[in-house]
Amino acid sequence: MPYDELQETLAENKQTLEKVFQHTEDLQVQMMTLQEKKALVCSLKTMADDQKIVQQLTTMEAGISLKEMSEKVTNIQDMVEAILLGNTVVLVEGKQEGIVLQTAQEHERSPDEPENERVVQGAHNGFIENLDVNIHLIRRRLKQEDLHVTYKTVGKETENNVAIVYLKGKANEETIQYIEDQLEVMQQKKVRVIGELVNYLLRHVKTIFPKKLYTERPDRTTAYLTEGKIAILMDNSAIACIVPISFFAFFQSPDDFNEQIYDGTLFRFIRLASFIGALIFPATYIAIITYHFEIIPFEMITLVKNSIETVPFPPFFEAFIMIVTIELIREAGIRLPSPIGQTIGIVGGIIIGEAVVTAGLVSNVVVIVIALTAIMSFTIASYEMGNTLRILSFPIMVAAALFGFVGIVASTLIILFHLCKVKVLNTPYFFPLAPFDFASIKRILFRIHRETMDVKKK
Amino acid sequence: MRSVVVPIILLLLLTGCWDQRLLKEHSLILAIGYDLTEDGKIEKTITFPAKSGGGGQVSISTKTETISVIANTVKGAEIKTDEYSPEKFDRSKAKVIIIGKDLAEKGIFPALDSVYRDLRAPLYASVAIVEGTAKDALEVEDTYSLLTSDFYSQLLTTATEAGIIKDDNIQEICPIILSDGKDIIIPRITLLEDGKRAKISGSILLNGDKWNGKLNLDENVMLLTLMGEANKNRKMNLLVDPNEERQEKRYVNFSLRNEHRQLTWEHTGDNDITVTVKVSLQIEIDEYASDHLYDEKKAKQLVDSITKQTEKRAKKTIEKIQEANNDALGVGEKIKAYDPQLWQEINWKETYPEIEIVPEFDIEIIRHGILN
Amino acid sequence: MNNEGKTILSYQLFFLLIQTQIGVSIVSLPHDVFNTAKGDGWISVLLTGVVVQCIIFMYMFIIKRFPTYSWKQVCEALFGKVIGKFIVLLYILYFICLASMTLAKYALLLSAWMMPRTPSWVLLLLMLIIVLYIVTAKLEAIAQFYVLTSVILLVYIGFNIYAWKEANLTFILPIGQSGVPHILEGIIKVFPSFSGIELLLILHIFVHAEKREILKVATISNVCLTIFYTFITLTSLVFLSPKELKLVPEPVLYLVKSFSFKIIERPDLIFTSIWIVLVATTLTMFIYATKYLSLHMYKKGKSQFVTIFLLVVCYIIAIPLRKVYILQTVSEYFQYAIIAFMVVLPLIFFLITFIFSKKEVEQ
Repeated sequence: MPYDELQETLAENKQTLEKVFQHTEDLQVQMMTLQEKKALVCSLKTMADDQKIVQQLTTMEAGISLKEMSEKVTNIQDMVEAILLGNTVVLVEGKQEGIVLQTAQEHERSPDEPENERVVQGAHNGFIENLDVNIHLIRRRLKQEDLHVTYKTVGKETENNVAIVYLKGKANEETIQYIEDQLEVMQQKKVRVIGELVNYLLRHVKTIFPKKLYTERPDRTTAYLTEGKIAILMDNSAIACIVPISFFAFFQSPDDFNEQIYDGTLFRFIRLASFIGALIFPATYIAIITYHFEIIPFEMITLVKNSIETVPFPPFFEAFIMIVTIELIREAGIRLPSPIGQTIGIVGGIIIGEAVVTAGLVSNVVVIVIALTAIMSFTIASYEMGNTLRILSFPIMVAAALFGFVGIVASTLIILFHLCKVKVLNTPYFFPLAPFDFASIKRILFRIHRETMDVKKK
Repeated sequence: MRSVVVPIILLLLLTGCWDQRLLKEHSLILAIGYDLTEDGKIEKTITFPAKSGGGGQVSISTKTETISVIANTVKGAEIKTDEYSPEKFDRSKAKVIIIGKDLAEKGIFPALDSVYRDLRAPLYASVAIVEGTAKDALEVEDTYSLLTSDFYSQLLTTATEAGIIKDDNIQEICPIILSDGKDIIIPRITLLEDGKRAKISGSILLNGDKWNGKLNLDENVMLLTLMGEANKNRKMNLLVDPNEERQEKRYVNFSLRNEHRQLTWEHTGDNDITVTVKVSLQIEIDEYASDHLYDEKKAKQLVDSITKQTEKRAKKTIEKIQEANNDALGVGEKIKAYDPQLWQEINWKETYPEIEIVPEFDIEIIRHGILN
Repeated sequence: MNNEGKTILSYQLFFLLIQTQIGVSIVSLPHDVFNTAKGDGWISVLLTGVVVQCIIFMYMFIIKRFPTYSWKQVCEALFGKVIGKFIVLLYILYFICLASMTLAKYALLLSAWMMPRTPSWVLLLLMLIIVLYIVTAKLEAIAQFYVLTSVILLVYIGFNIYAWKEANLTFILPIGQSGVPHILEGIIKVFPSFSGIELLLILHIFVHAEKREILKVATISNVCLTIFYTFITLTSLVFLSPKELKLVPEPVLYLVKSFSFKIIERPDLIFTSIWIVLVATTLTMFIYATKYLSLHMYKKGKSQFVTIFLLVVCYIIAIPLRKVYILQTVSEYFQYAIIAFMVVLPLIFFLITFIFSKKEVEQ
């Protein structure tokens, strides 16, 4: 039945339509006279915009050619699809075809600044759930004819539009080809969110570090595009996914570029230092208390010793308990509306922290260490990198509990080598450091920007 | 790959941590004293902080407890100390090592052997020799409400900063004791008022690693100057005008602002070695009650008499160290390095007390405070 | 294995060589050389650098004659199929022994300096896990990694510079006190510290550069290494008195142990910990060479299984070696093996190549 042709009689069509839609009550089927012919106007009340319908019908009535603004459907299947998209189908008595009017409702939020990627100064707009608007935001910043957009449809049931955006000439052709090929395959798979798509693309890259960078900021996206990266955007996702990405990109923020070289570089190094700090700080605490307490000065050692005297757990578990507590507080707070979230923070931070120390379950020092670690891990601009950091700090802690400093060195060595080894879409992940490239280090780590360097060369 | 690595890691985790040395379970030794008992055994005294209240609250105890044990060797004594305490003792953070007179006379190096051998030894602990027993020194009562260890270590540090002694740590004394052409001096502590208080009273001259003489503070300051251990805080007090009526006017007090030492030697005849220690000093007058320094002539006179007096004191000091066969000046070292032929010919330990060492001073007043 | 192609760049070769050569013996070098050459040990180190430079020239001669041949092909071209294969087998054994000795010394030193109660088989296992992870990767990644880990050498230089404030130059004066024979004898003691340069013979085919460029890089790396070793040796010689140096088998660690800073009172703990990085880099290259040679020789076998097999072999050899006196005796003999494989065998290669003017056959 669905592939049946449309009938000439309106009544018959109406009956079929109502049957297909299971007599849903938001289906509007109205009889009216258009240009002295009987016509049936069908649409979904919840999907179509009334004003648009009226406007377009008026134009039709006035006899203005409709060829540009509409397409024709000839069977029930197409007609149903058109209606589902929010369009209106006009069936005219005596014709075995329907005219589709573009009347879909559009409810869109304005491109506000994304919550989790705030900047102090600079542009305050972000991507929204509409692909066209997002590409508009990118193009507005990047007025170049080289900016290339390729559309693909992915997903078997959802049929989402995906756009691959890159600068031709700068982005690697092979990588683009690979992505396009992979997206062809994706047409047959289920795709609900953009993450599924990208994870499939990068399924051969085996690493715990984030392989792609999500951003909701058009300015950040364009910055990466000019560096030759590729952005993947999907309809109904307010994020752009940048591939291939390197480790140090996660420590950059658009803010850095607004500021002077000195503070931009300083903040970037603070972020990097807190990454390393958060990675090994708890482990160092464990190693010192378990193995090498002679390394800290005498005055400090008496303080530490006094505070851990009553703690019943070995240092590893002591630190572990606190880390788990902090993770719980964070995880609990993140999904709650902000007023309750704040309460959780207070309960967790002040009450648990204070009580647990007074009870003598964990020492003051470990609370300081873990709290500091948590703060350090939040300075990192990227949420994914923060997650990686938290996961990685556990094996290092285990190694520290087993071998002390030697364990810390051994595990960081393995992590470092892993970073050197990983390649994302044939691009080295640890780029300016491995392979070592001094010019890029200046640019990426010290933020000596390409433009200023070009000027110097002249 | 993963299937190999994961079980290994799990295996490691299950077997546990062998070298674990929990801070919680260790009592930190703050200061160690070594003595020799009459029957030739080692008496080891340790101090550690007395347990404080505990709970989560941080409170630093200022009381120490002391334990003394007697055993055949230092390490033997260390094993015995553990019998006295619920916690294991850990000496890695000890700040001071005090050596008693009897032990110092027999030689300190064997006692320190275990310290050098131990990977967690307190190599940067200060060393001092006490006239009396180390046990008494560690049980001294009046420590200005500091921990005993802090008291001694700060005493030594402050005195070093003032330039009156040289506070070498365990590591620093080792190469000097083991070298052929140089000997060490170690700060000397004297107990006063029946062991109630302690003070620094100069230094001990070691011959090799054995006590072989001592210097008082004035001589020690002079020796340090001769050794070329520059220190801008060093002060000297000399008698320059013995004929003045008032006691205060007879003396001059000055600080050494710049020191420069030069060591030369001459080899005449068979075993006749004459060593000249030339020291040029730039001094600042701190106290000189006679004043009159506006007159350059007067000032020159003062310089002359200061030079005379310093040379006199230096000679006395040198006499003492030669008597103790202690080559603190490192003359032997220099000869060994720059005149190896001569070094081959002589037996330094035998020759050294015989050679002539002449101190020469070149003194210049660069300032005299804000008064003339 | 052969299809890896020319993946490493010349500057990476520099770090590859340096990191391979600086290994487990860096901490004991001053002591070893002092035992024979006394205060003139640093001269021995310098002279060894000169000798090694000659060896590099010799290697380069062979390499220039066989620019695209792998080591196995060179052996077979010079000695025929059977003997050539046998020589490759000898080299495989040599590298296995070299790796085992390194492992044993590492376990011994780490036990002595940091973890006296941890059984040394666990320490060996820890090192082997690190090496296993690194060595299974591509040479390209290893080379990139070595560039980064070279930062550690700066730490070594920094600590040694710091030690100069306590330096006593009279310990090494007069220069030449121990006499020429002793200084020359010292060269033999220093040689094991330079072992790893023979990898040049194997690795050169992976380097993306002209042969002339490779020679340049090898020379620069040798000069840097010699300066580095001389500096480290000199520092220990002027910091520790001769009698003390005799008692201290690992002067470089001992020297750091005597420092103390305001926050870090025992820098040697950190110093010793990062020393394992140098051990890991050295070991990895030895194992890599063994793996490469054996895969090349038999053409069969999965690379991962071969690696694991080789590591197990090294582990088994290293276990009985990890006792002070056994290791001392064995390394006494092994230094001649090092000389044989570093100098004597390549010299024979060189002579044959030179006299019979052998050359690569164009395919």
